[in-house]
Amino acid sequence: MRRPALEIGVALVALGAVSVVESWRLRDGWLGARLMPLVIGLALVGLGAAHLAAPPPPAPPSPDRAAPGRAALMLALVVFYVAALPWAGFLPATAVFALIVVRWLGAYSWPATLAVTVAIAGASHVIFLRWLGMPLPAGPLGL
Amino acid sequence: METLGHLGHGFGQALTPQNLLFALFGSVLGTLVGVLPGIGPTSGIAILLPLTSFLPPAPAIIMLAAIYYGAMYGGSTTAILVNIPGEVASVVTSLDGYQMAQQGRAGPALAIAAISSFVAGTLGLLGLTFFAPLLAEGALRIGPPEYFGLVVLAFSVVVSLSGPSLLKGLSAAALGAFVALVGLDPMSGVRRFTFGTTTLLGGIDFIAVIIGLFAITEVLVGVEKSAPAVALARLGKLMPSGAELRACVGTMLRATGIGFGLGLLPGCTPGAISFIAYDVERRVSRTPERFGRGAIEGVAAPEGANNATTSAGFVPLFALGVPATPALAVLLSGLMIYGLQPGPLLFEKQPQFVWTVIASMYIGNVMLLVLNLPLVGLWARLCHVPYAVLAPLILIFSVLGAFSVRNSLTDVGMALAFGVVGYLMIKTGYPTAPLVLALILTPMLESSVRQSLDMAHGSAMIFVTRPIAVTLLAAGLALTAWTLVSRRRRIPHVV
Repeated sequence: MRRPALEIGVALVALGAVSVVESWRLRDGWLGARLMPLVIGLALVGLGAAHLAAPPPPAPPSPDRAAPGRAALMLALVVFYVAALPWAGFLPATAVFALIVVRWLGAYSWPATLAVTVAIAGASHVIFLRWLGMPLPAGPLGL
Repeated sequence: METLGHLGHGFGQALTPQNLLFALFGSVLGTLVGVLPGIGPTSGIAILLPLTSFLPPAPAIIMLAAIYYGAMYGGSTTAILVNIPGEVASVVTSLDGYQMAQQGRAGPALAIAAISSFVAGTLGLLGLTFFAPLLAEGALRIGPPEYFGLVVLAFSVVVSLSGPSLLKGLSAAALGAFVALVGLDPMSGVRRFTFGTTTLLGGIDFIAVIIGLFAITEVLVGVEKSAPAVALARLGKLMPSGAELRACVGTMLRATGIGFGLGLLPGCTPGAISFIAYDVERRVSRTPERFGRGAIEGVAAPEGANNATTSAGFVPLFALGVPATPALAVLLSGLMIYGLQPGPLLFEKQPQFVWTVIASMYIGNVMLLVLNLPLVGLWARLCHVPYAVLAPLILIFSVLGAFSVRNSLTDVGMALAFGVVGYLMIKTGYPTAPLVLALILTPMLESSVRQSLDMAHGSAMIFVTRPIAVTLLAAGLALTAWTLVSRRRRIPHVV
């Protein structure tokens, strides 16, 4: 488990370098807008270097059997859901997203899945669009 | 005695059926606002402000104030049940509250949150009643160097929130501080880390980060366990035991003191204060190792502190016209709509209005307790909602919560990105709490340092020549040293 610590160390050094370069680039006094990016950048570089010099202990192993593929799939579904919002509209995109996730995780019968989907999408629509008047993307159907 | 007379008169007005109705209405709406992720007290009051426009001043402000502290009550519910803090101040509540729910103790966690909120809120109101003008003047004497000392004191919490590896905790805090710098510099207007785009000009919103780190991460971690392994929390008993209540008495009193004292200072946010109250509680505990694993005091402390902060925030608002938090700034605009100018003269010119609102807060606190305690069972039953239903609900609410910040899908994208960051942090054993704390404190740290240096023409001596500032700085450094030493004793191999 040494590798994640090294990768994180390199990432921290890189982020710190970006911060230091940004503080250099800014047109303001060193006691102005440049101060904190410089301080935090140097801190990030130092912490990254500490990772490389003496990697911290790895995370304790989880007692549950994990399937990272499922997390990646869920993330992909949410990304598609968010990407679909502007062109499909809130209600249709939410309904399709809820349908897929409920069917996948619940393995319920289709009628049960549809009932849960309608409840989730309908309740979200009523609370956030109707009651709270949130200006969510409406899509071509105006939903 | 004069104060009691005014308060008595205020109660006479607040107990009219109309004012009672609007206090109740505001409490219920506020609780709902708190429960819904992303819609915090600020946006809640802003959304509901037009609803009050048809009312006379007193019931309108009674309702808005009830929404504010109702939201502070309600924010803990989703933090405890599904690890989604309804508002920023509930982030800390989720640390132990969610663990309690996972252990089948959602009922006692929700109940102690309501009880602690009531106790601290009511004690805070006593402070507001009897000391408002006096305390407000004192709070104004605290300048940027003292704020700097206070932030250093608050940053010492990072060490104790770091878990087994100090290096990991500090790295998480540095990442949070970096994120806080993105956007327009609030003092000079210079663009930082915007990389030539306008998307990042407004900065990375705190709510989007919280939603990503807590709600989205929670689902990503939960979903990867095979279906039977996703254990739904058992309901368990609904109320805390007598022993648990007794254990929390001191916690509630300490949280009230911290929340009220720090809540008087404009800019000291309930989020930061609840972290400090939690840390103090862990330090005074004989069994600090229980914190983060479902300690009931870990729920009582932040909930008490943030409700005492809510009461304290009205002190500078009423006495000086200075809003201590963004939510109170929106409330201030509500007051001004009615031509009421908060400040030293408000108590003299509009005593009936001020004391009616203060009296209604006492009543609102009782209402919230009465509303929340019987509902504990109902809320706790949310734990029985199957994960296949809960997961999409959490994700949809997360998307909506992040969107509601600025009505922008960019914030939703940020929430998703921080969901991934949170997931990776959990997988590699990095704590998320220091990131959140640094995100809250860095803007305060930056403005206090720069204002102090401006005041002193660039000399850092200003931090050690003002008694309050140097005391706070010394306390921060001493606490950090103390925690480091006790960590070394407890975990000899810490890095």
